[in-house]
Amino acid sequence: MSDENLDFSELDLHRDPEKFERMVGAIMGRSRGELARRAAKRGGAMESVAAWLRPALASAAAVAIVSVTVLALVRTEDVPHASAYLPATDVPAAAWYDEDVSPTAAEVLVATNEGGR
Amino acid sequence: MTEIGELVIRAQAGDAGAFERLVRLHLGAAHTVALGVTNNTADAEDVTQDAFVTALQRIEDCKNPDRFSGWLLAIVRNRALNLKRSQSIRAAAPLDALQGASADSNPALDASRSFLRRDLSAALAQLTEVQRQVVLLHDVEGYKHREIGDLLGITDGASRFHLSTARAVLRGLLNGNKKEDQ
Repeated sequence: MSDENLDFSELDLHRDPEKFERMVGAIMGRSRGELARRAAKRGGAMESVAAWLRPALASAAAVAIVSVTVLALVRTEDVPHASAYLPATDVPAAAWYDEDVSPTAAEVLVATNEGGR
Repeated sequence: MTEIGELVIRAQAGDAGAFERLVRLHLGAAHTVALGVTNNTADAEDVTQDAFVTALQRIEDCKNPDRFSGWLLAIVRNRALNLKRSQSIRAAAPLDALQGASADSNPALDASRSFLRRDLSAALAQLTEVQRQVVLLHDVEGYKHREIGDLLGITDGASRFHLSTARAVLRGLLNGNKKEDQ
């Protein structure tokens, strides 16, 4: 039993360029409608996205403008200092707050006793 | 993703250039697979063309675009098998008589080729379908045994066995024909 290749060149489509091209042409001709349908479908989808995207971007821009304007108009100087909300006692809590110091437990106890008298 | 995979994605979107490239890359193999089943060039041409058109229509079914080749050839093979089943018994003279006119116009050469095709066709008709497919895919399209095995659903070893058997049968038949001609 020999394993040498036999000569099948007469059956090889690549050796008959005319037939090869004829078959390619026939397949492409029969596929034209399907390809056009697919291209149109894709084009339609892209147009839909574009049509939706434009108003969405315009709306987002309008919201951004309104937001920036409102923020710019807020008058921050009218907001009272945080110490204004502290209870009116002799406890030097406002000073601690302003100086950003943490009182010891003893200082808190002393201040509380003094304020309570 | 491979070049084939990218072409498949573009063809899905209706890119005619990409689809034509796929056709050119696979036409030879598809025709060989169809010929292996039908053993008739006209039927093989019809099956091949139908298979490409069907493949485009169902291209979304190709879940792995990189494996388009195997998917397409399976369509070709199924269509060829369906055609063969639907046909009543057909005379086995097929390859040469139905072959189109040759590109060159040398009558002596044409006649010689015609005889060669006739002998080859008659010899191929003596093989089993799987032997014919294996020998054509291997010797015409250059497929590896692993690829043939994947396509036909047989092992590499079985593909080798069928190839050896087919070559021996063909060689015997073709040598017999030569002696008869002398």
